[in-house]
Amino acid sequence: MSSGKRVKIIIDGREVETVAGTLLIKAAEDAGIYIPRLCYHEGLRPDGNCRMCLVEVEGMRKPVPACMTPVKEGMVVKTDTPALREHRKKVLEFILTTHPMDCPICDQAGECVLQDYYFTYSLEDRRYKEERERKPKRVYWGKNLVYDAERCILCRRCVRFLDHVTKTGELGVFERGVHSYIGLFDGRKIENNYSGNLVDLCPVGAITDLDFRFKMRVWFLERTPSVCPFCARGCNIEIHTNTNPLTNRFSRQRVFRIKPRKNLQINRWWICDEGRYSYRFIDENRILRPMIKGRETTWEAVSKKLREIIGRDVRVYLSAWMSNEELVYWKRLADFLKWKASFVRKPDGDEDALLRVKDKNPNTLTCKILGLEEEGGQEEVAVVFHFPWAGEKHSFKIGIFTNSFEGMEEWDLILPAATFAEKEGHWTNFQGLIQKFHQALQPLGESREEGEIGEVFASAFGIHMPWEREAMEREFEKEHRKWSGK
Amino acid sequence: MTLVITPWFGKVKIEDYIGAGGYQGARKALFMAPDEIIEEVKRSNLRGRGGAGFPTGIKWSFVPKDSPKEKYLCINADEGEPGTFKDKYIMREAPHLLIEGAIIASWAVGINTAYIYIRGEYGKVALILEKAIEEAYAKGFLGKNIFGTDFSLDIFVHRGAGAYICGEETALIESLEGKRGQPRIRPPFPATYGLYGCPTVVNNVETLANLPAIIKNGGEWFASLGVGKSGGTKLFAVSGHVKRPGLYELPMGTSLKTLIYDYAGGIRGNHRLKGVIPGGSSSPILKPEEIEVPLDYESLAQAGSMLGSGAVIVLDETACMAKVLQVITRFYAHESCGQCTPCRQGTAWMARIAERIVRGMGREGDVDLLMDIARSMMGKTICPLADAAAMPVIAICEKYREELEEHIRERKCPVERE
Repeated sequence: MSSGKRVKIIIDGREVETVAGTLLIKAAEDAGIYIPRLCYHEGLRPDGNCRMCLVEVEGMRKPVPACMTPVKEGMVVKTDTPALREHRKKVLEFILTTHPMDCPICDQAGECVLQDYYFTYSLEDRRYKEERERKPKRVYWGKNLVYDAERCILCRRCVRFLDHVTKTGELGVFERGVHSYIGLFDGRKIENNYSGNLVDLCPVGAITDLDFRFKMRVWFLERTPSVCPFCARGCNIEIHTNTNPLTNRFSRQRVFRIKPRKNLQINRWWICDEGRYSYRFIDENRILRPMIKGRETTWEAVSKKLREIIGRDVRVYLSAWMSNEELVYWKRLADFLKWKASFVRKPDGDEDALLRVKDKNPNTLTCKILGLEEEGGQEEVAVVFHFPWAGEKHSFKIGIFTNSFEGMEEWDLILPAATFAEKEGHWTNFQGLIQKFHQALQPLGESREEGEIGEVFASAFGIHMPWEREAMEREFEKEHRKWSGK
Repeated sequence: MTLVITPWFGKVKIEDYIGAGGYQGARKALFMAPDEIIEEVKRSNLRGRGGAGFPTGIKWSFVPKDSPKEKYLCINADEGEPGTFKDKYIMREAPHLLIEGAIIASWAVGINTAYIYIRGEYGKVALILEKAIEEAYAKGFLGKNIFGTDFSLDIFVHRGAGAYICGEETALIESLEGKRGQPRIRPPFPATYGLYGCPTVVNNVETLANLPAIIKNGGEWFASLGVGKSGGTKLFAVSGHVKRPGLYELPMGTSLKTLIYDYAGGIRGNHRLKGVIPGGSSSPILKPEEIEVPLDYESLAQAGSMLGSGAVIVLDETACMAKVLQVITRFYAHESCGQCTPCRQGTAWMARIAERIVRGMGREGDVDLLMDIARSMMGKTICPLADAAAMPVIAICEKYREELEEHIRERKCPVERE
């Protein structure tokens, strides 16, 4: 659509320069002028149905939808006239004639576009005093999606997502006028790998997530930027947590949901369902304390146990789930101790044309950049990260794991590791992009991040090698530059 | 008085049609240059008879001549505007007039495929059309090498499924493509991006039925039948409280009063006229003192209404205006496609208020509220259905306010019924 030609337009008296063909709503937003919208979403084909984004363009007889109007050289646009302000109030009033006033029990409350807009643009009293339209309140669309047709404002973002992004086309608009609703085509269910995005796309509480609904009010959630570990794409995510004992009294859950974070280079606006719904390992089934032959012990006892391997033949299996910093640190420690070092990772899985890649690990590329190979050996002692099967052939086994598993009693020593949500660091995705994930939670129980665990090893062997994350980060950047040739 | 369309009525069989001079226009057209035809049609002041009244020749000239894409003609026979029944008569009584018009339009624009999108309810009419098309193929008037020229044209009849909105040209195109019938955002206009993304002309049945006469007698002749910028004659479908409801063809510019009293026989019984909806249910109502207005596009626009499809609905004093409001608002609420917020919600809201008033449950302020809702819908939607729903409401509320207020106040109908 864009020819790359720069054009100048005037929006609300301000000169704005943009690329010819850019949609007005986007050009304005990039210039810091927000035009309210309900059906428009940057990642979807514009549809122009909600009529919220109408603006006045000089020379046009009627207001035009900013989401459907490409900019042209010299265009003079007004986004905030009295008539438009009145129009926005009217659009909101029209929607609220049928939209239920059930915000107190609606999951979307607090992050609802309609609610926010009412407060920002309307605050008018209700004039609609007729009967409300009755429609189905709970329609199960498959996986975790529940649809409430009464709350639906018919923006069709969900339909367009399935038509144009996943190209699976499960949903359509049925009936007409005020009786319209979004429905599944006969015999269909939404079973594609990206269904959860519909919940994010829905500007109101019409599509809710069975995995999340009724569990937590959104304003109690803390949002931490992170990176999804479930494949080498490294989709940008937000981890939504609540650890406040006043507002999260009855559950042991700390992570309540994972949301995508926009990154046009990597995941655009989306994440897959695996990445979205696989967060439970962070709170469930965790190894909370060090264990010797399956029996819990203390970190003090760990050092003594570790000294048993001094002088023996050791192989360390680093993992493609460790951060760049941790890998650099552990590689250095292994080299110093003359241990054999290789890496392990989850086996390849399915891929698709949208986001999912075969490699189901977040940091395989860093392992390779650091020269690690996927290989085993016949050494007596194994130090294994994350993947217990790597220790099978070794007689003395030390494991650093996050979650418990069958057969822990066979392990001479197990150390509890923090999950990615409980530490910070960087991963290098399959494209070679280094991305930071932030710490959302304190490590559960006595678990520690792998870098700190490395320090425990070092000090047990009487080596001075402090865990300095930033120094390791810089170290890796050097390696990365060497690898990428920049 | 010269008539253009109705003299052909009854000539359903192709032999009868040809016997009366049929297909001479098409034959002549095919030996004219396409541009010549477009110029002739421009000169004729023929304006779209579907309701919007856009000059037909100009509409054709928007179609790009150098497009490598296939071009299409969509014949709008989805006659859905309440009160309108003119296209049904044309197709039933003179189907070949439409086919001949379609040949002329197609040749002028460079089209080889035409679709007649006929409303689902016109099942029998669709059969008549199909029969006529078959006859035309057999005579070599359709198909390949029409009249021995290089020109080919295929016509297909496509039945709609009963949605008023599919009479809107872009919704018609969507429906024809097999999609949900809802209007597209313009631009792009069908002339450049229409059916299957190709340049497309959408013309009403009556519009096309005028073409044979224009080609035979010339554009100036046609223009002279009418008045001002409204050339030719117009079919008026008169219904309601008149002595002789029916279809009348009159020159553009004839007064509404003449149509009602001289042709339709005046008001039935000994009743007095209460109001006239002059151009289908979406045109603003006129009061008895306003019916001197000439029936042409400009005059009716000046009178605050519109010629629309030429469906004249006459109401006498026994008509309850709250009930009229209810019927009209209910129709548009039912027919709104539901795409745009103001139309989807506004039409339903107005219908509920009107229904409440009729039931004797009206509230003070309802009339103002109705007008406010209607005004908030106008000019804010993708297609003109919201305007079509809002205009009659505003007109009825303004012109019959006292009666409506009385209906609300008294909680019953103030109109004595026989």
